[in-house]
Amino acid sequence: MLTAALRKELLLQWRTRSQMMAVFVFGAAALLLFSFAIGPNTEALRTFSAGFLWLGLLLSSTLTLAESFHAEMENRALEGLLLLPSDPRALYYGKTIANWLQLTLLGLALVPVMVVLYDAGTTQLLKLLLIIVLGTAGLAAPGTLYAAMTAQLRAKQTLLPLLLFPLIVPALLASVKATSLVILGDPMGQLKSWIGLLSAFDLIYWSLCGVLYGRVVEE
Amino acid sequence: MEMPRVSTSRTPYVFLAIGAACLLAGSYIGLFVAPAEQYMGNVQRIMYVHVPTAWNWMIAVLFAFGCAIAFLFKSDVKWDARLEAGLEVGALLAFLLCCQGAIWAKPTWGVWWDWDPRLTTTAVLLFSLLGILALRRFVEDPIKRAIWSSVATIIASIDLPIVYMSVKWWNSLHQQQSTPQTVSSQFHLPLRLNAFGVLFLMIGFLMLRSRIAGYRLQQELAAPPVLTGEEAGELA
Amino acid sequence: MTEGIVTGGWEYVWTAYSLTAAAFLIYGVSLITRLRKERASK
Repeated sequence: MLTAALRKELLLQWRTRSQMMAVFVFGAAALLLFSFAIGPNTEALRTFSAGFLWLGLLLSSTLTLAESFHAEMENRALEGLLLLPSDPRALYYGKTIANWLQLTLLGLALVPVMVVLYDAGTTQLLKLLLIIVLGTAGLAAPGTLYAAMTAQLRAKQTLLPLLLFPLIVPALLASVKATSLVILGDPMGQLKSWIGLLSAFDLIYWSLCGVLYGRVVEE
Repeated sequence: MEMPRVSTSRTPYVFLAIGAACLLAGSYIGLFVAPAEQYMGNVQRIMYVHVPTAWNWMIAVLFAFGCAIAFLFKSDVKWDARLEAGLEVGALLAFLLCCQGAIWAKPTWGVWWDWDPRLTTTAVLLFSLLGILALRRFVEDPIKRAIWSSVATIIASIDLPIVYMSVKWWNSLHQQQSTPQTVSSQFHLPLRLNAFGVLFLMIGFLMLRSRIAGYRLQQELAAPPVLTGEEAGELA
Repeated sequence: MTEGIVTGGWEYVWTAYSLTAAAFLIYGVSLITRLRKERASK
């Protein structure tokens, strides 16, 4: 059931891939705006590049997460899915994994933008990939859960960020710190502990949100 | 879903009265009787309101967490009424805590705010509580509102142990946890009095606020009025 | 500052205490008022 759900989500995302392009442009525009806000201070830009990357990714995620429930809201598809003889958790994890993949791709696409705009390059690409994968996982799990809730409400566009942002602050902090260490150097070897923290958050959120999802979409 | 019954006993007012008395007594002692601290001087007296507020705030969040779990397991809306109370009182105490902390920080650390782990995690939890209260305003169906608030509260409560342990885990600027071992005995009495004072006040607040939520739930869950023959005929 | 010891600062103490007292007082009164209103409108 999980693979079927995941396939459905990936198929939906592939069919709406032009929207992904728009979200990427939004993210890149955000990174550009951050650099304007700081001004032509190359040192400062490089120092805060990790923060800008993750902020841009976070803002873009509200678009993709909200969008991921668009199909379910039409023609009461959500109820239809619930009538299937399957565990709602399979649906949740299918959607969360798809959102996670989408956010990882978005994050990777924004890295060259960051390198160019902030002169924030690094050779430790594998470590950067790991951090992006773990950080977006921390966004995807609670994000999908709250997207499921708020998709059914009138004020969905304000409520999703309002609920999501405080929750993912620990994951955001850990991701920014870890990315910063990769870009600017890690003299005291702190990277491991930040990655450990991020992994712990991911574990907690992925299990807890899966357990609670069934109650969120029940009738 | 059963209709909640709302109590009309006088107990909350008793709690409020005792709480206010303890708080007045503890504050008097803390302000005028207890000695000034060695390094922070008289500014340290803020501890007698700040620490009790902190302790009781954590209790409020734990209470909200408990109500959320209780509702998800028992499906009795009286737990949602209590959850609403816990969320509101928790948000109030968190906001008060941040204000007191800022007032204490200015003369001692030189800044109103500092992004150190304890302050950051506390602010995160404050915003989480406000977010859940905002969510409740936008959901009209009381059952759905109750389920979603419970889910959101459980997720938000993960931050609470992080707040508590933040001063231990990271080299925080904030002081270590206040226990009888870390606080000198001359300061114990006003601290304990105020702690109980705020606790009893909080219990009174939670009871009263639960009743208000209970009345509203009664109105929302009430069956629609039955039409008489004439009115029904008009609609047909 | 002499030797890192804080001197004075009573205005901070008074602000903190009055803020706390005001918050509890106003919240308590608002609860009692709201409760009376809810009960009256039943």
